[in-house]
Amino acid sequence: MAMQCFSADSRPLAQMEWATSRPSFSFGGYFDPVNTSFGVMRVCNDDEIAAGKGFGPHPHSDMEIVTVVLSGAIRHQDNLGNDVVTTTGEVQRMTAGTGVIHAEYNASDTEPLQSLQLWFMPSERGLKPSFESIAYDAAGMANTLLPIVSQQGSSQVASIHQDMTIYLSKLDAGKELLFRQGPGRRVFMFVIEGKLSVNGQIMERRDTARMEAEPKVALKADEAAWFMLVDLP
Amino acid sequence: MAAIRKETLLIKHAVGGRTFIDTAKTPISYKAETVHAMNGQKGCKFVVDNVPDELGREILVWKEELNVFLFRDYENAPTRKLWFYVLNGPVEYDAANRRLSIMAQSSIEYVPDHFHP
Repeated sequence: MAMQCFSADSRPLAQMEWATSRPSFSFGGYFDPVNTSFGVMRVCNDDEIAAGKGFGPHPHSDMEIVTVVLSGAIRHQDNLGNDVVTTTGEVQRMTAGTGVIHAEYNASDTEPLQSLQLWFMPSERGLKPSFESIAYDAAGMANTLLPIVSQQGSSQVASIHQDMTIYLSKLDAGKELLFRQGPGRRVFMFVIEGKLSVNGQIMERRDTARMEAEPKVALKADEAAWFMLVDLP
Repeated sequence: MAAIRKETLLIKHAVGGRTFIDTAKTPISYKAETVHAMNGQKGCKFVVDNVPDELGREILVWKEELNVFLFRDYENAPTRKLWFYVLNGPVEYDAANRRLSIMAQSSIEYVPDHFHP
């Protein structure tokens, strides 16, 4: 596999009374035994949750769970004592490790929440559970790849227990970027808004791509585009 | 503590939530025995009988990604959920006897109706 593109409507639509989700990998009622992971990536759910609604308390373990808020706000509560609202321009990371019970809700009583929820296998099992929510430099993603989650972390980059980086970028129409993929690495792409050429292949809103053994990832905005790029093992 | 009215064993895939065993929907014989495990914490050994071969083998595929629960319903108290962490198990399936055994290393109890961190 060099590069595989998946159109937005190729993903199954999971519809509840108060939420919709388009999973990229097997999740919930969608199970495909040949689509359960991409490297250490296990889940990429494109979620919309109605105002005031959400998921009650439930457990997680041995997973790094990242929620990127696209619009609206999410409230996270857990048995570690965290009660945090994460809004647009912010990202949260939960290390489930040996076990955490958490609940997550749309924090608004009036506006829907749009988010990407991403799950990654950690570099080791049995980690101490932890949680953080950080604000990234939203202006800093203009025409460049802005890291928002990485193994090292910083004040504006959430840290994660895996050798990987999640970038966000907003490219103006006509602008180009080049990402160099290291040996043995993978790249997962998700177009949040707009239209983008990736190594010559057109990707539109909510399309995804998975790339292996592609030394160069050439990105060109055919129209203004907001996208996520994940560099992972 | 009120008397337990009903107990349910649930074994699910932790990634995506696929249900493997739900004794409320498919009654099946099981035992849950408290044992001392990781770091002196209370673990639990589960033994489940009459597990179909295909299901037993599928659970083994995902043995590092299991969510094991005991849901306890009470007469006059809200449901309490016990979630068990299965680190290294062991998780074993004895095909000859259709018996699944799972060793969980620790647990967390929570009451969904009273979840106020």
